[in-house]
Amino acid sequence: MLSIRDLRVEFESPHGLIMPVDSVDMDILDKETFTIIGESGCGKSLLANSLLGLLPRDAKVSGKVHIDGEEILSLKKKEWRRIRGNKIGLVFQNPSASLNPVFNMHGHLYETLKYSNKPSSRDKMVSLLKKTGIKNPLRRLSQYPHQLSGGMKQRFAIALGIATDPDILIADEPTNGLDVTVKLKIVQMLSKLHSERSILLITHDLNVAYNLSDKIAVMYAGELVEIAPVNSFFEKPIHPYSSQLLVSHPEKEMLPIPGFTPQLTQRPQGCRFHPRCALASRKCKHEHPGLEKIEGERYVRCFACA
Amino acid sequence: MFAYLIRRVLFLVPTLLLVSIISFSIIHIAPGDPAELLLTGPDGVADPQVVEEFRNEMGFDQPFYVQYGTWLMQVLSGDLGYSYMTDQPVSKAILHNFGATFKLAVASMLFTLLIAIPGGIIAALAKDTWKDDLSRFFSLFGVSIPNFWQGYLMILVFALFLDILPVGGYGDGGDLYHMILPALTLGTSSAAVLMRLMRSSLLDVLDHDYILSARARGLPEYIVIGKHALKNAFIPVITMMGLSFGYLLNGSVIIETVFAWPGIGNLMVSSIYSRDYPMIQGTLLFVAGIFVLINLLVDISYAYLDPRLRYDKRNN
Repeated sequence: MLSIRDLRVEFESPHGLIMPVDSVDMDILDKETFTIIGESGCGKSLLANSLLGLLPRDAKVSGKVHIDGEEILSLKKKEWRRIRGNKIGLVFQNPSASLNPVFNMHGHLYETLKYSNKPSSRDKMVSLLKKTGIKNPLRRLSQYPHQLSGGMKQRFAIALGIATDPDILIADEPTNGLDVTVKLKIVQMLSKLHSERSILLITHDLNVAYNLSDKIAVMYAGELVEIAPVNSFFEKPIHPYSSQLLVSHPEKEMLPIPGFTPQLTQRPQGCRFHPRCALASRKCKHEHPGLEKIEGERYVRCFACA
Repeated sequence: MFAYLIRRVLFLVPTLLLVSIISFSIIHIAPGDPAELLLTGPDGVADPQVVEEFRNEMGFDQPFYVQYGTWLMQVLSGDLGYSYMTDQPVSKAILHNFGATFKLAVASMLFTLLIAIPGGIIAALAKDTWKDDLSRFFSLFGVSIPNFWQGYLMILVFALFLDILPVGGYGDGGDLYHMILPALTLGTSSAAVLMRLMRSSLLDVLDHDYILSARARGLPEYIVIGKHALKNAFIPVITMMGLSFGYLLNGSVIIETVFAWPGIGNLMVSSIYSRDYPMIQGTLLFVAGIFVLINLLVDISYAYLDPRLRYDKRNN
């Protein structure tokens, strides 16, 4: 369905070339929910935006991204419209900022449907709102973003994301900033959408990842360090960062990972995680590990555990 | 919304009252005696006895607040009084001169908008290119050169050297031919300011997530810019437009003088020179009213552009 090979996003900065997304390889299968987890600033959102050609002008993107066999990174500026919405839908992380304050729900939905050549009838809109669990859909259509609660805005943002019926929906931190009960409802709603299309979920919430995903990828300092099916990942994480991530979870022992995420300009030589890793050897300090297949569908980027 | 409008219109009353009190006070503090000025003919100052009688007759010898009270009662009954100088009804003079100012203001505003809105949009979309530089140059030029100097320069070039436009005057009831030069002159500086504002406002809006989000949904670029970005970017621009138009409607004394345009600015200044109290009060009151009304229109347009500013109960 979606295959990403050697995807890099680079920026020119006063401190030299920085690479917030570095050699990402991954595949998302049909109707699969693929989750990228990682700390803030590890490059998750940039990765998502690069799949839609939405990076700032000074970003350099390289690599290959195929969707249904078509390579999209080499598309011209005008051709991206064909991909956006129709092939890949994107739900942004902060619905308060990603909804235009001067248009009501009807306005948002109407033009989105219209310009993706979908029927823009009121019935269609109502069914989209119902699907995302919005009550009183007819009344809601005439309301503006500032008149909606945070959870409602998130539901609506998701409704907009699926309005164009994309093959893949990218949901960037869909539960960010929501309180626990609302979060639970959004997760329930997303899990219903799950069977309809592929979803690329981006989150730092392990609970959300556990409940929604088929596959998990862990991102650290711009790279994927582990990819695994959800059950085996939570049973036995392999990469030292993954296992520390799981024990740092508040519901477990809440052991923080020692040290800090490296800054973009000061990434360590060798394995990027070695300064914080208990298993680090001489080799880890000097050589950069590749993402290796270890068993079945599991991939890991680590000398100590591969 | 309707209740809000009613409230705003009612708010006009205390505003105008305050304006009239302040202007009335200032005129009476200022030196100069209308009785003497009026009765001074070619033969010099009139007989003090006559001046005194005239003062008495006109009520100039009354205390200031009595004079104000008399004037106010008269205005409340719908009569702005008569000019001391010409005996013409004040309201008639105002309407006549305001017509001229209004024509000029509309023409200047059209010129301003035609330059500033597309110019600002192009500058923002082509940020840091030669188009942006060109617009920056025009803006700097427009705000830097004084209006009167530009006016004379235009007269020099278009009226004297090229001889394609008139030097000044109102022509046949303020026709387009006579209006071009003053309108261009007045429009230049407001266009310069408005163009910068349009540019910065649009650039600011383009940075928002909802623009990225609109693109992510596959909307064509002309909808993203033309609808999503511009509707938000116009909000501050409309305020500025309203203010500019308000100033234009109050009549530019300088430009009306340079081009001999019989507008409300000219009327106000000449009535101040001659201490023509009813005329001064009348024009000031009128001009203040216009300004407040323009601001009201700006507020109404806000509510149209920005639903967050719609003053109704459902907002909360």
